Amino acid sequence: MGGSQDYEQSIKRSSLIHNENEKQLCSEDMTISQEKKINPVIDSSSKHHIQNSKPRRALTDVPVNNNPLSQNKRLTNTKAVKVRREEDIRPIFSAAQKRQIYNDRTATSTASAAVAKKEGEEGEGEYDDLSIVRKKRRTGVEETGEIVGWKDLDYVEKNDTAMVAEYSTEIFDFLYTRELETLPSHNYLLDKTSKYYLRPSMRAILVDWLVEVHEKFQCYPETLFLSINLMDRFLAKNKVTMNKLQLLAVTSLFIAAKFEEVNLPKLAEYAYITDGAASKNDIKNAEMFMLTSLEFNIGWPNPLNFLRRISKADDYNLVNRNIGKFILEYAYCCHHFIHLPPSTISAMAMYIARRMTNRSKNELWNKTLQHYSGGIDPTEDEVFQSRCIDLVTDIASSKIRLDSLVLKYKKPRYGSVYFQAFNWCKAEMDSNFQNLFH
Amino acid sequence: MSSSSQFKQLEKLGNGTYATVYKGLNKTTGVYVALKEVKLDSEEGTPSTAIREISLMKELKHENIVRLYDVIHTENKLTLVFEFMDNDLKKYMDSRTVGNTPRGLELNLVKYFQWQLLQGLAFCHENKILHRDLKPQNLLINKKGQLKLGDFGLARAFGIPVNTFSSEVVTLWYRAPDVLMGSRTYSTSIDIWSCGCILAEMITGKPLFPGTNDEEQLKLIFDIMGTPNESLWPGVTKLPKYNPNIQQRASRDLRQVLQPHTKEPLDGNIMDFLHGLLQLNPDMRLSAKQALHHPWFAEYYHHAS
Repeated sequence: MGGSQDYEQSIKRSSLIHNENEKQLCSEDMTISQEKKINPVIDSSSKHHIQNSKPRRALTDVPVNNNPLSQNKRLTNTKAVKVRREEDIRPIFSAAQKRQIYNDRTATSTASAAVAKKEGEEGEGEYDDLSIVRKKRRTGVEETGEIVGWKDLDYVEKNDTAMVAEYSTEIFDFLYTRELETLPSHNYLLDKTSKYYLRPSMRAILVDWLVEVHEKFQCYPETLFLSINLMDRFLAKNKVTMNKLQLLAVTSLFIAAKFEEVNLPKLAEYAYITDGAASKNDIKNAEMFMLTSLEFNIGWPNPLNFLRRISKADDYNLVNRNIGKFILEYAYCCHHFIHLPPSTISAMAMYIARRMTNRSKNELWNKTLQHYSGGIDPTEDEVFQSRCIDLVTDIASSKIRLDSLVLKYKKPRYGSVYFQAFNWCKAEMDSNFQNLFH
Repeated sequence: MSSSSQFKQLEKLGNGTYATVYKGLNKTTGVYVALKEVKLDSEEGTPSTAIREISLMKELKHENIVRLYDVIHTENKLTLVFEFMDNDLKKYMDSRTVGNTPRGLELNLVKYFQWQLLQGLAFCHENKILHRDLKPQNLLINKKGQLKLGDFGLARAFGIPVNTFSSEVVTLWYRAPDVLMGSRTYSTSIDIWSCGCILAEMITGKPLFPGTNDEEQLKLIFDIMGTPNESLWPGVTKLPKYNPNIQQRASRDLRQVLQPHTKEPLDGNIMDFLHGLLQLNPDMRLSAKQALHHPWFAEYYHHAS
């Protein structure tokens, strides 16, 4: 295995990665400890190579530590005390007025200036054709002054502080821009000629392990998606040897939790849960290396924001949303979609979920759903349709093993939606997707 | 080789929430910067405060938010290179104290600062970021009269709907009553309360609610703003630390509290504006966006349009 060499190169390479204007975040001081020799953590067949005295289990069957964690008690007594805003007592600031006055300059112009600037800095070709499609769709939406015939549901929620309705337009405009800046640069799992190519089954093991650990740590769902995003962005531009993949996964979770969580699991718990594959020091060193490689761009439009936004146009139907969450998580764990923006994947998840439960065959989609999904119209979008077919096929055929994910969604806690979803996807596949778009 | 050698470290400017700040000089450009040094010897790796501050500030480019130029990593510390600002609002107000008597700022300046504060804050909220530590020390000013939000060490990104967060945020004097009573479902309104406290402090030159602990802090707030009840604030009695035995008080006239400390008359506009920020019920507080359209700012937005 020329593994450690690859790794050294990747370190050198990554020290070249910097944004020209923001100057180098990377410095030569960053090294991930390499004193450890190759310890095959992934491939269970190579247990014989173990050099340390301590036997290590393969990642595939790493038991997750079942000792109760100190923070297990968190969030149990935090039933949201929901308070609603009284009818607007200050008529001078009617919602419509506000939006108009404010929208025109500061928000929109600075946002688009920022986009333009970003594009200037990074040059063309950074994103694939998808971003262009996206931009077209968006500008189309803006120029024609909205999709005709959608219902403004933000207005209905303007008295609910948790929905931050007064900023939701600006926030989502920002998220739609930002999601393109924080995509993995390419799908390193599909292109076998890419120097960063990784076998999809490898990544599946990693993400499935993350699903399991994340659940044990009782982190927010946002944290799981963020850690997968961080890992993909890193893997799309760094070559990581097999023996370091688990270190990478656990470090991704370590960083994501620091960004999202209120109560943080301890570093020792992360090290412990790798069953010896990564020491506390390994994780600390990898953390800084990863942060530097990602240029500290951790903030990311979490797909759950988009999923909930679409769910708003779906009357917050709980069954659909639960199934949608499963499909969303599945999509993030399988390898076909990592180069797609979170808003697209969320729309796919909600679209498929609605097809699955919508037995009366109501609308496939409508203008309000289109608006709240950021302008996506699945009935007109053939690329979107073929991706939905891919996703349904992935769920039904389970070529990639995602045991923890499947187990998780068999649990009543998550609505036991796996059975229904799997059966439906299977039937769809067998019937050549006749219900998916009709 | 290290890019930290590009900067000459000058005098210490202060201690942030988790770091030390120095004045620095960029040797190649001759431009002054603020160097915020974060030690990395922590047991838990890179402090989450640093991860959040850096990643959030990279997203926030606005004239009323201090710019993060660069991050340099050396062996056991991170150095955040910020735009240099001459002063902070706290020191500036302190410098105007005559003898032992604090003096407020001229109302024109108060308005200009408050306008900039809300511009910066509205930008944060539109970018789904809560600051969570607004106070005069964290508002940086320069000789041009510009004011910028700094120290995003406690800031965090929020989703929609907003998740529950820690209630141990914001420096006590500027902490909203809902958060003091243990609410964890706060959102943008948490920063607005702080803005109200800061406004009153700019007017009088002294903090409005200088409590020493959570309990006293709430008492000071209720002494002036009155005690909340279910009709004024539905849900307040269900907050984790709501005290049902608290002595009921009526609200005092805020103008009478503040007027003795300033020479200029406080008119209806400014008082209405201040009341809009200092609502006990978080749902009743103005948003930053609404606040910017309050008649008190008429001269600014009319001018702008």
